[in-house]
Amino acid sequence: MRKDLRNIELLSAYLDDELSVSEKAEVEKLLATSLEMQKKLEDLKKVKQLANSIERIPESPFFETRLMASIEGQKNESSRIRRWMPATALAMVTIVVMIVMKFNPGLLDQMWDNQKVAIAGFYKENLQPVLVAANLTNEDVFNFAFNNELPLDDTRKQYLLLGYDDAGKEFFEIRSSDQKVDRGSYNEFVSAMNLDDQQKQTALKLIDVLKSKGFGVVTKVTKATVFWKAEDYHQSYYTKKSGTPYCHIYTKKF
Amino acid sequence: MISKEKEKDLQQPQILSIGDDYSIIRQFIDGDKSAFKVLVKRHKEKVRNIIYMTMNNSVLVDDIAQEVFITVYKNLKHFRFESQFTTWLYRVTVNKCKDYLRRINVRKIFLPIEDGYEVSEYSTPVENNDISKIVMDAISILPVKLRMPLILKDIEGFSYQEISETLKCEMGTVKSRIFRGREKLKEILQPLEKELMG
Repeated sequence: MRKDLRNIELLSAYLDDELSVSEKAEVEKLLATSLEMQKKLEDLKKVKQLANSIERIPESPFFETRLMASIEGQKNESSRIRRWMPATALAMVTIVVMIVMKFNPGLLDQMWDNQKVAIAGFYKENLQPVLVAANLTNEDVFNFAFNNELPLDDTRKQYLLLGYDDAGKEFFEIRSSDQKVDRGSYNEFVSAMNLDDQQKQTALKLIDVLKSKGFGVVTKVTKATVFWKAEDYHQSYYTKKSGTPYCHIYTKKF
Repeated sequence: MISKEKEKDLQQPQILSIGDDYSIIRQFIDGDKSAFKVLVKRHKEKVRNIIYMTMNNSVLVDDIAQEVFITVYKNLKHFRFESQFTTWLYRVTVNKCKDYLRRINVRKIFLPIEDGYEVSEYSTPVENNDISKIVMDAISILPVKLRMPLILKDIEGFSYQEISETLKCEMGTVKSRIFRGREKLKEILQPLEKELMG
């Protein structure tokens, strides 16, 4: 049965002249001896002729004209889309940012603070141990960053100065500490860095007033960040407790 | 630009060769977009006929053929000159037909029979005197995997090798499917054997 099927399959390929020489010889041998195979071949021939007799579709004379018009149309469409893409993308990004800022106004400050914490953490974990091991203080680091000065010994009697001369050429020289000009301290910088001019003026004015009255000032005035309001049950604490405020006692200083 | 005489010359199907297609494609890649029109003129009828035979629907022919050539237009610059252009062109054609047939079958599931698109079927062949139409209807009943090789072989006259490259299947599979397609077609046309086969 299986062999018969293979023979008929060979017969179909024989009809198409797609057999090897040996296969062709095998089929012709079979055809010479088997009436059934001859009949099968005739049937296959008729089926092939019938399939081949199908009428072709009439030609379409304007096909390529329509096709080229369609291709041109698509090209124009895609170039129009490409032209508007940057503006559309910008508008979309703006809308998204506006929505985010509307519902989360403190997001940028929060991101800024997180970034600062991350940088500080990175400094603390990686750079600070190296600086401590080299016996460098914050003051030394500050002076190196802003004044290009680095102490060379533990007693800080000599320091290295890096810089550029008038011709723009890099130089370094070793100076003794008695030549060093004091350009300002790290602590002053830290206390002032978060203040704008107006805040700085106000803070300095208050500090001067307090100092003139003989008070030491330890409070640092820094830039305001996000204010996190306490939950409702924390509000009006003394009213709810009906007690006397013990941390809000007024002390006259001004 | 291709001269009018050369354009006319290239359109003659009897002088088709790989080299001709290759030189037209090279002109297209070099920026001569009019070369594509020549390529379309040379191959459109074969493409349209394959679609017509496969879909058994003349209304869809030009739409599908247009999709075929648009796909070719968009990808022609990446043609690698490793095989005949026609092998690629007919493969795109066959794949587009398969996509359409799949879509039609999906649509048939969701639409009531009277509203949905229907491939004309072999319903009342006895009343139909047009042999061509009867045979085409019978072919359209064949499963696609038998229908495609049969059309390419018996109607379009491809070799087994060309069919194997176009359909991306083994030569042995092509041979077997053509045989099974013919057997199945004979079976479908059996009731009309006397009228059709004499």
